[in-house]
Amino acid sequence: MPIIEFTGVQKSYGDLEVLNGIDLSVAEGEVVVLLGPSGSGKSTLLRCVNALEDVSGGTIVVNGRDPHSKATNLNELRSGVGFVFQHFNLYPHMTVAQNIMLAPVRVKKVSKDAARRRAMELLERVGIPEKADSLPTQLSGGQQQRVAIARALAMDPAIMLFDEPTSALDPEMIQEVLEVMVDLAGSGMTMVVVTHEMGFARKVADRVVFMDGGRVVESAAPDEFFASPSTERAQEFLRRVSHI
Amino acid sequence: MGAIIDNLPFMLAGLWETAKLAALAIVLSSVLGVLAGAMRSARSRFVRWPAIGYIQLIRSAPLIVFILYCYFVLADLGFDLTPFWAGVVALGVFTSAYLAEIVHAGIASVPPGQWEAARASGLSQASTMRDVVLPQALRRMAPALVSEFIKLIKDTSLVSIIGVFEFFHRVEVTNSRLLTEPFAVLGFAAVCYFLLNYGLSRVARRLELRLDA
Ligand SMILES: Nc1ncnc2c1ncn2[C@@H]1O[C@H](COP(=O)(O)OP(=O)(O)OP(=O)(O)O)[C@@H](O)[C@H]1O
Ligand SMILES: [Mg+2]
Repeated sequence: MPIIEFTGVQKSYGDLEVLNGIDLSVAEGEVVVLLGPSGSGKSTLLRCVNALEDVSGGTIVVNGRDPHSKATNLNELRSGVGFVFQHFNLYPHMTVAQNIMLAPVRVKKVSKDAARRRAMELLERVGIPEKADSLPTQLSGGQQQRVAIARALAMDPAIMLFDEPTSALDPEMIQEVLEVMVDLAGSGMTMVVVTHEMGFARKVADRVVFMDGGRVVESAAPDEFFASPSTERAQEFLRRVSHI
Repeated sequence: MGAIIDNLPFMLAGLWETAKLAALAIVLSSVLGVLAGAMRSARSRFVRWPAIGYIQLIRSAPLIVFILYCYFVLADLGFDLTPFWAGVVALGVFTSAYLAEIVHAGIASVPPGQWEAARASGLSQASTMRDVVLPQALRRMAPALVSEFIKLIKDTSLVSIIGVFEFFHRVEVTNSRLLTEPFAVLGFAAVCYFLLNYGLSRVARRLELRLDA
C-alpha cells in the first residue's frame, strides 16, 4: 500500500495543462527525486500532495486519505506532511525556536515547554542549537533552510516534500543542507525531492522520476536512469544539466 | 498670558476629557478595524462582503454627520448613551473603517509564501491570520495606523457638537468670554493638540521598536 498515490491527476490553469494525467506512487520510506525541465510541473505536482494547489481531475491518496475531498480534515492531513520551500518562508517576526514551536503548539496542542524541548532537539539535529533565539534574518541562507527543515520535522510528519531546497542558496551552503537531507533519508523518512543536485539524486534516491510537459516520462533507479535514460527527452535533459 | 492662566484649570479639565475620549475611541477603533480588515481579506465572500459593506458605508459619511447620527439615532434605537459615550462610539467606529483598509493593505503585502508555510504545517486559516500574517501586516502598517490615530485625536474637537464638554469646546467658551485674546487662546489650543499627538507618536515609536526587537 503506497503512502502517496497519484492516479490520472490533471491540473490546468485556464487553457494551460500543467499536469497531464500523472500516475505515480511512492512507497513508505522511499526517497523519490523528481527531475525535469523548468515548467514541466514538478512544483505543481508536489503542491497537489498537500492541497496547496487543487486538481482538475484524477485522484490523490496521501496516507490513506484524499487531500482534495471535502470530507478530509485537511489541517490534520497537512500536519503529517512536511513541506520545505525553495525560499524557506520562515516567519520573520518570530525567533528560530518560535518558528519551530508554532505548529506543534497550535495544531497539536503540545505544551510550550515540551515544544521548546523538541525544538532544541531538532536544532541539535540540523546542527545549529546556538541559533534558537536568533531571528531568521540573522541567519545565513543555509542555516535558514535547516531551520525550515526542523520546523517541518517538528510535526513528526510521515512524509517530507522538498521543492528545490538548495536552489536559492550560495554554492558553499548547499552541502550543509544536503547533509541534513541525507541524514533524514537514512532515518527512513519518506521523501519526495525536487532538485537539480544530481549528486544527491545518485547517492540518496531510491528512484528518479523524470517529468516533461506535465507527464511522468520516466521512472527508474538512479543508476539505471543516469547510465542510460530510455527516452530522448531525458537524455537531452541530462546532457544539458551536465554542461552547467 | 494672564488670561490663559486664569482659565487654565477650566481648559485643562477639557483636555483630560479629550484624552479619555481619544484613548477609548482608539481602543474601540483598533479592535473593530483589525477585525474588519481581517474579514475584508478573507477568501470566503460571506465573510468578506459584510466587511466591505461596513467600510464603504462608514467612509461615505462626513464625520460630523456620523457623530450626530450616532447620538440621535442610537438614542432612537434605545441605546441611551451619554454624549461622551456617543462620541467614543462615533469616533471609534468612524476611524475603524479607515484602519480596516490599512490593515487589509497590510495583509495583502505579506508574501504568499508566509500563508503557504503556515497552511502547509496544518495551521488553520484563523491561526495563520492571527499568528503569522497579522503581526507582520500591523508592523508594516504601523506608521499609517498612527497617522489615523492622530487624525482621530484632532477629530475629537468635533464632538462638541453633541455637547461633550471636551477640550476644544472649553477653548471656544474661553475665547468668546475673553473676546480679545484669540491669538493666545487658540495658540494655546494648538500647542496642547501638538503635545497630545507628539505623546502619541512617541508611544507608537516605542511600540514599534519593541515589536522590531
Ligand atoms: N498560478 C499559476 N497560474 C498560471 N500558471 C501557472 C501557475 N503556477 C504555475 N503555472 C505554470 O504551470 C507550469 C508548471 O509550473 P511548475 O512551477 O509546476 O513547474 P516546475 O517544473 O516546478 O518548474 P521550475 O523548475 O521552473 O520550478 C508552468 O508553465 C507555469 O508557468
Ligand atoms: Mg518549481
